[in-house]
Amino acid sequence: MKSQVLVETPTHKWIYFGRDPEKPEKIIDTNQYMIVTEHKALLMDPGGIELFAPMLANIVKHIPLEQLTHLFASHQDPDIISSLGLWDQTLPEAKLYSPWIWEGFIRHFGMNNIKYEALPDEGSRLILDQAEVQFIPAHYLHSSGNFHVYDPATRVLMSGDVGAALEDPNASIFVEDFESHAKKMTFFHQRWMPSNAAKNDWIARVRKLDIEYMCPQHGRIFTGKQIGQFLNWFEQLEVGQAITNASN
Amino acid sequence: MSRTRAEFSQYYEIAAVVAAELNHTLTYCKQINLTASNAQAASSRVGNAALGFKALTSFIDDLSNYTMKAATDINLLANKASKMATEMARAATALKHFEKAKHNSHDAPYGNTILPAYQHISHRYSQLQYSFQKIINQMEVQLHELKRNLRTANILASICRIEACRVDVANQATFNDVANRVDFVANKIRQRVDNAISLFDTSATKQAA
Repeated sequence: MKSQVLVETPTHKWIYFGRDPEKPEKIIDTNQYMIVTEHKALLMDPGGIELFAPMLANIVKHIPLEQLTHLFASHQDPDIISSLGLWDQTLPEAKLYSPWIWEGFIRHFGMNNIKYEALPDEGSRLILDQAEVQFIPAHYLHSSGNFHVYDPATRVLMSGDVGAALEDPNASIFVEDFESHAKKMTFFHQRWMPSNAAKNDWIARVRKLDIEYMCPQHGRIFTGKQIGQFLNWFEQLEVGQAITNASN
Repeated sequence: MSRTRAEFSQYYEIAAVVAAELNHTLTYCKQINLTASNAQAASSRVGNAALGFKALTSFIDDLSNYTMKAATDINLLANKASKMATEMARAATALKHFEKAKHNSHDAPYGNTILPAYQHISHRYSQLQYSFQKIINQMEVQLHELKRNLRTANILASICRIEACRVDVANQATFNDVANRVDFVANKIRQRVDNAISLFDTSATKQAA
């Protein structure tokens, strides 16, 4: 599994994890992100059970395990958080931030020790030492209770499934050419995203943010002007394709 | 005697099957209860000649109640074992993933910080193994004890037949029916208990092999 520091400030840094060469072939490739502050760390969308061991082995390349104090699950999908039962035995004192509507569902993954911090629909904030992150609502993109994480200091938006692409496991972690990358995103967004209204609401919210890195859970990271390109591309894309497919 | 993770997953299934087998015995026990009540009513109608038989019906009742309680107790143990097996499966999975992570992080700057969590899970797994083994042994002992006590049913049925000879011919058939019913149902229960015991025997044989 690759892991690399994406961005660093005097108070905290973002680390990327992904492209695990040992990942079983039939499970979807995922990106994980971790914010590390002076004494704490927030692991975002920790991944599925199969990813637990490589994640653990890679995290301790960057921080001691006891520094990992917070987890975030953007929604309830297995590729996001099915490893929870294992993290629960590893980090019994940790807190999990996740949409309130999924608490009863996510607990099915096994959660006896970790504390569930239910995120309200309007979102909230989390202070980690000197850093503050915002949980930005992204409901129905694609899950009915869904959040992204925005860090105003580093200008990073962890965008969950928005911006995702089904990629080759050896692909670069950054978008190189937006136009060619858009082709890899089209089907994913048309089929996985259910609501044009939710999409436009999210775009309007995100346009107000100052973003330098947009980090999806699958595929590649967008930087600089690619973020504006993505928002324009997403705006004109009709989603909820399965309804049209089913009617034909 | 230590058992491997694979054998414990086998016990997970055993616990579920034992619970199912003993559920059937509870139904049979209710049938014996009913038979005992009918027999008591019949012996009251016959009068003095059936006094010995009347006394037997309370023994039949006792046996049925004992069997019901024993089956319920073993069932509780089976349910407990089933739940514990789930916890063990989780701990075993965690251990497997931890071993992999430990191996892959031996040269990581903070690799050794995995150890406390690994040791904690390892200890918990050992504790669960010990408790689980204790419950399984207890289930095995109680099943054998239940089987031993079920022999009483045959004795009771035989005495019923002897007592039936003391009453007039018209009532003999009723009392013989009670004896046959006790025999039949007790055999059914014994079959279920034997099925449950054989699950343990099979695993022991496999273990020995």
